[in-house]
Amino acid sequence: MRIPCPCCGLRAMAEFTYGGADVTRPAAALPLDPSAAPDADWNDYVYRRDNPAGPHRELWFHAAGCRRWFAVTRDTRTNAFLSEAVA
Amino acid sequence: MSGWRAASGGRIERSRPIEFHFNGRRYVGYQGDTLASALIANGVDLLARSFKYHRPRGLVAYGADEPNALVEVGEGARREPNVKATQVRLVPGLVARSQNCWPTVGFDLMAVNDLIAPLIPSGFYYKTFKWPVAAWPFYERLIRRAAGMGRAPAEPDPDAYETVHRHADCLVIGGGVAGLAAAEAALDHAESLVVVDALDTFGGLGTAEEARIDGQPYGAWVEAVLARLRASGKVTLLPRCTAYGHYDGDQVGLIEEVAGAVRLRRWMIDADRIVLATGAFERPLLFGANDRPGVMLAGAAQAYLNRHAAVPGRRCVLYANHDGAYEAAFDLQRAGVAIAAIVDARATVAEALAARCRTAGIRHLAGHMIAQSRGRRRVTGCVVHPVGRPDATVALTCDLILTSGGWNPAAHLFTHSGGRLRHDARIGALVPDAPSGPGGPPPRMVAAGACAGLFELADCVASGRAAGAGETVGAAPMPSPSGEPPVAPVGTASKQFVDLQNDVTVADLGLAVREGYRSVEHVKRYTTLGMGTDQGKLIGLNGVEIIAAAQGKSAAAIGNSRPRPPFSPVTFGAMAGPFVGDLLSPARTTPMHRWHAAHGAFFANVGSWRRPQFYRRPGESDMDAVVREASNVRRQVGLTDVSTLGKIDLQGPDVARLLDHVYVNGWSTLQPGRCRYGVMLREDGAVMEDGTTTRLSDDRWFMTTTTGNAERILAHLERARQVDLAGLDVTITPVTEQWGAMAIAGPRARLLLGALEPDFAIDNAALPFMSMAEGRLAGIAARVLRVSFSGELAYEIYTASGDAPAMWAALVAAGDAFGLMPYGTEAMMTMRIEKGLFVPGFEADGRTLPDDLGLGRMVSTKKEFVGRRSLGRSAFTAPDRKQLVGLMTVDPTRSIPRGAQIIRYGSASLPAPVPMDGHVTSVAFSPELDRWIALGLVAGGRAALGETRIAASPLTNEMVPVMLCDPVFIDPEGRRLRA
Amino acid sequence: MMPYSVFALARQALTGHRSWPAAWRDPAPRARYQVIVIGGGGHGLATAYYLAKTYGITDVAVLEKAWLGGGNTGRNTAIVRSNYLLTANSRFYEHALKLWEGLSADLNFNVMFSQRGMVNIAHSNAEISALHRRGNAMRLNGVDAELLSRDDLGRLMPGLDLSAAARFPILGGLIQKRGGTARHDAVAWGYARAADARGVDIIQNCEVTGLRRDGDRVIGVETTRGPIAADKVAICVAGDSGRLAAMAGLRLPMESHVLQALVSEPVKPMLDVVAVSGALHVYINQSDKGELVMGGDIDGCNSYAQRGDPHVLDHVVESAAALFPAIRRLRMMRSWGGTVDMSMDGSPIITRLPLAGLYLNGGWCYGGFKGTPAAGTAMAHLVATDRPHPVADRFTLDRFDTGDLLDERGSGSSPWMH
Repeated sequence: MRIPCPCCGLRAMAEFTYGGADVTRPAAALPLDPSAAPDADWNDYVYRRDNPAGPHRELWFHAAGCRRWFAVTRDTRTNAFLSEAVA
Repeated sequence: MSGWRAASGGRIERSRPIEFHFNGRRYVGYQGDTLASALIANGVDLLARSFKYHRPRGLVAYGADEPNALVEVGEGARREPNVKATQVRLVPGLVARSQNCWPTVGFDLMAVNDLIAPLIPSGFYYKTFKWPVAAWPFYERLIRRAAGMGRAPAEPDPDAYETVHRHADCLVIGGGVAGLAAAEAALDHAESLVVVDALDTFGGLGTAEEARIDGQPYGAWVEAVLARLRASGKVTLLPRCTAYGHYDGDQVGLIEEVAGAVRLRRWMIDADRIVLATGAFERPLLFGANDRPGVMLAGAAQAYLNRHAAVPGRRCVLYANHDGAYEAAFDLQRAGVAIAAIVDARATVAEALAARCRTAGIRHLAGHMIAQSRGRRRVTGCVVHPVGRPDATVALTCDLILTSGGWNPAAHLFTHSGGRLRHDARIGALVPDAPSGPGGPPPRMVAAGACAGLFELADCVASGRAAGAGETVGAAPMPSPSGEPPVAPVGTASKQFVDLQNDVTVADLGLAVREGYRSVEHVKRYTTLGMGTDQGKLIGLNGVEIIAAAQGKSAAAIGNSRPRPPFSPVTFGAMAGPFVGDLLSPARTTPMHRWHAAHGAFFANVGSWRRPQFYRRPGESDMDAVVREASNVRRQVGLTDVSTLGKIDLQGPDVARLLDHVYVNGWSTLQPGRCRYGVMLREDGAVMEDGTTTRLSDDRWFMTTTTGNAERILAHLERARQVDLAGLDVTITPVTEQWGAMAIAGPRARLLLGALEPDFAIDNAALPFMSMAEGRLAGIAARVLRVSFSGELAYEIYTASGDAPAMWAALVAAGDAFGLMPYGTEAMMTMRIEKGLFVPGFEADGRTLPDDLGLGRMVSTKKEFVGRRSLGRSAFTAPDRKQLVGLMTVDPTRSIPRGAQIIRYGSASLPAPVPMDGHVTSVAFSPELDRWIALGLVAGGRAALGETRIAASPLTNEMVPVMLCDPVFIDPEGRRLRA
Repeated sequence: MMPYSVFALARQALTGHRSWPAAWRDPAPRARYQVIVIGGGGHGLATAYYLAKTYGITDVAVLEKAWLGGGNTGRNTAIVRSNYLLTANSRFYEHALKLWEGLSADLNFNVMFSQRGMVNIAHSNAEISALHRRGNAMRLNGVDAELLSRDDLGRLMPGLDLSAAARFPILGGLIQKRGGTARHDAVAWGYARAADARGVDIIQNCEVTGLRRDGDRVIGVETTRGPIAADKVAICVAGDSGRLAAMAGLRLPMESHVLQALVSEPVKPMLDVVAVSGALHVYINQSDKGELVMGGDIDGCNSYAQRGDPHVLDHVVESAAALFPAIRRLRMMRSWGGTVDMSMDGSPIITRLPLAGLYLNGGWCYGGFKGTPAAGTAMAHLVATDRPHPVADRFTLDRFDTGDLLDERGSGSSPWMH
């Protein structure tokens, strides 16, 4: 499988590090409460995933290349890349 | 002994005889022979024994579909089991032998299995050997010994392998007529082509020599196309090369046989277009004892004759169900083989064909089938009867039975890609279907020729050209079959083998269906149908049709089993390529590696690095060396190589914001010239990393990471910069390889530093603990961080990698006066344990929080950072969390077992499961304290200091009382490192 | 059910094996059942079997979208072990191992459970310490474990490269002698036959396309063969757990990933134990048929494709060849991929879901096959009693909120790292 790096083009999968689903990190509520238990949004961000069988927006790091982190959409049923965009 | 060599014909070079040995006997073949053709020509027809019943077997096929003739080739370290004789090119000195038989292939005692066959039908082992339970290991040993096939290799393979990665605008798999036509057509559309074929020569097997293409004789056409391909400068022609798998992204793996410095070359081709012109496999027709030596595929016999002048018999019966097969009989007859009869399962045969038989004087039995072969170790005849009238038998005498039940496209790569096959009743075969939806084949793969179910020469040429020109991508193949749809009658005889290699019979399939195994996959797994090394290529539709018939269904209705890669077995050596031995994962060494090696260092792997563990002197034990090195640091001064630390250069106005995000502690207040210790978490709150970051100037920072975490931390920082905090003005550069680094530690470290004549001040006021200076040291540009991992006065000295050996040498030379000794990772670990410093992977094991390590107060409450919000989880703040403590044996003379679990007094005598309070994370003998100490994580440990527990190591039969203590064993006030 | 035995085989041999009955019926789905189990793999079939056997609940249908055992049950490398570090995992998998030890007799079907020994190989001092730690935890948990010296390893595995000059020299190992392998297909078939004999309907080619609910209650399923009502619905579809949970509007703490495996051509016995090298990321054993069976890490990105990238298999082979240099001359005969549920802490989930009457068994990561009997036991208990089975009471979903995680490898919430 080759992964479309926005900087380097199609490169072998072995050059990349996977970064998981492209989930948005929830903004911290202000003021900070250091002892508060995490809210549901945070636990969802850390642990819960859509995990679709189909188009999946995900992050890759071109570790053995340009060191770009980027998001792409890949069909998890076929491993076809459907789009590419710089994160 | 029925095979012989025709006096003329074939593509062998009769002027170049080749000697070889099979089963200890010497034979002669010719250049251009395979082992299979040479054995046929030498009249050797008993080559192997079958897997289960050990029935005598001979050659059936010509290529990768051969199920029987598995032999062991070569000797010593180059001995290779399970090789198909059809795929071995004859070379001088070749040594091959039969396998899986004892004592010999001719007299095999394991053939007793054939006698007890009624007791051991498919799946018998699921129904027995269950009682008594204790006896199964005994039965299993017998089964294991009987199973297997060839002997496993016993010595390391001495040969070399390589992998080549290539891109091709167009990859044509199969160099027969369709493939060559495709390649030629693709010349106008592609700048780079790769054309592969498994045989030595291009042109394929399926075309008669006298055929004409574009008005030219077949052979001349092939040569002309090859000449054009070569002249174009765009084409890589790879004969002796098999495509074994199609992978995502249109990558195709090829194995090329190379007789040279490498044994096999693996090609990984990333192709924009793939033309599958892989041809088709011939389907045998079934009858009783269809496994006897002398029963062969018609096309195989034809190929042995036409390519090698090897003739597998003297008197032949052809059993077929389609017109094309007749050519084999006519060819053999021309070569001098008597044709006893042509038995055709079809009720009617085209008059022209029947007339040719009459003209040739061949007895023609249309509407007939073979019920049974006759003979023992070799076919001596067969019994034939009209289809549907098993009573009206005719006995025929022959030493060769050729069968042909049609051809099945070799569409394996198409199914690898997710493509579906369509049952085409007109040709009785599964053909590539149009791609359909998710899981379908990529639209850039197209089948042509026989692989698309097109068997007429003109169709092969036309479909090849269309595929090569990119015109028929994804389209269904054009129809072309002529004549009646084929029929493949199955009689009632016993021992009709559907899978010859695994000894699966028609009766076995019926049994499986009766027992409820209805899906093709179930039958396959229950009976092992198609699971041999031939991967069922010979089975074609025979299996599916029998399974369907047993359920009263059509073959199309029950679908088919999907072949998985590889198309044919791939040598592990070719997959590993050069990545063996030291190249498995090339070790990284530091600039001072040679010095270490020359001074008695014992190396260990640390991540991808080789690091000195200790420097052993004559007469010392490992432990002696470690104790000496650590003691010397505590008393005088030591020198150690820390070049393996990850090093990251950070520049820009926003570095402090980035660091604030990734570290639990704050960074904006750090002044230039100062260092700070920091801890990083994962988003789930667990401690991931600790290290020191130094502010070199307002907008330039220098981070060091633990050796094993360098790549991970770099990715982590880049992710923070590019994803979570996008927009920060920071440039992150990994500089691990650019800097050599060494630490000097010990009470005399400053004296040693001073002896190197620094051009900057090093007194305690100018260069206090956790500060940095840059300048020249021993005349070499250096960066000096006053940080300590030993608890002693210590400096880390960074220089350009190229200067590092000189700096090291300067330190060693100057160090003599101060009692300097080098020390390795073991002494370093000893001292960090004495100092209670945690290490990711040991104390911080991915489940540990900052507070567990006693770092709770370091965690900022004023800013957001990675992992912060996870720390408030209820289980993360529970009082019984495992906390970092020190451990000392109650009896100072005893040691603490490594990897011990911490349990409470009295619980050792409890029945399992024994409650575990914690565990030992790191153990060392402390020279400073003259006793064994350890760090551990113990539930509620910080509140239990002074209490005793048991360090339990049942593995080593040790139960050692230990006392919980503060993890900082020496100098808790930190006077030494600030001295 | 006609009992299987050597005597039955001999009797049948006289009549050409004509009268073996079907191992299980092929019933049409009824309109309603007390319990529907979604997924006809080992876990689903075991759940149905223990529901019938232990809890007397026989009004059960197992719905399988394709053919029994065609998912991960038929795609794994068939290793059975209970050599876990964390007590909650150890307890569960040891419970499973004890069931394995009696499974062939219990099911009257030889699942070929072979306790040939499970060996972990260490290449560094740190790994030796980690094996000590794990082995000590195992022993204190009542699980067998023994240290192995290099010489011991050499005796157990004659082809192992023990040279000090190896790139990753072998320093020692740990063996669980009761660990080993089983015949994966036979586990599905054995449970199916035994469950069928107790009245469970096993319905193949019946894909669940939706959940039927009445408010906060599940009341049945929609399938490709029509709606089926049920009081309780148990999801046992590892690999597809996310898809089924989505039908209930839930997002799970897991991802689907592809795990590849391969076998060599069969050869005579050369490796009698199951060997694992954590540092080299490879596990290898030799099947009774003679094939070397190997696997490594998951490919590392979400996938339902059931096929993976070739470079991952290359690494498996490189590592296997580093352990056993002679195998380079053998050949890969077959390779394949399965879709595994990678949970966010690497441990399984057996739990009630927020929808009443709906239960989930998933998140098995690499370990589903060996857990089969215990997963069936625990799931049956949960479905029958609405309370977690004591050996699986930590396998909850709320651990991802409370932080009471079971992170055996300490890899955190990057499921592809477990």
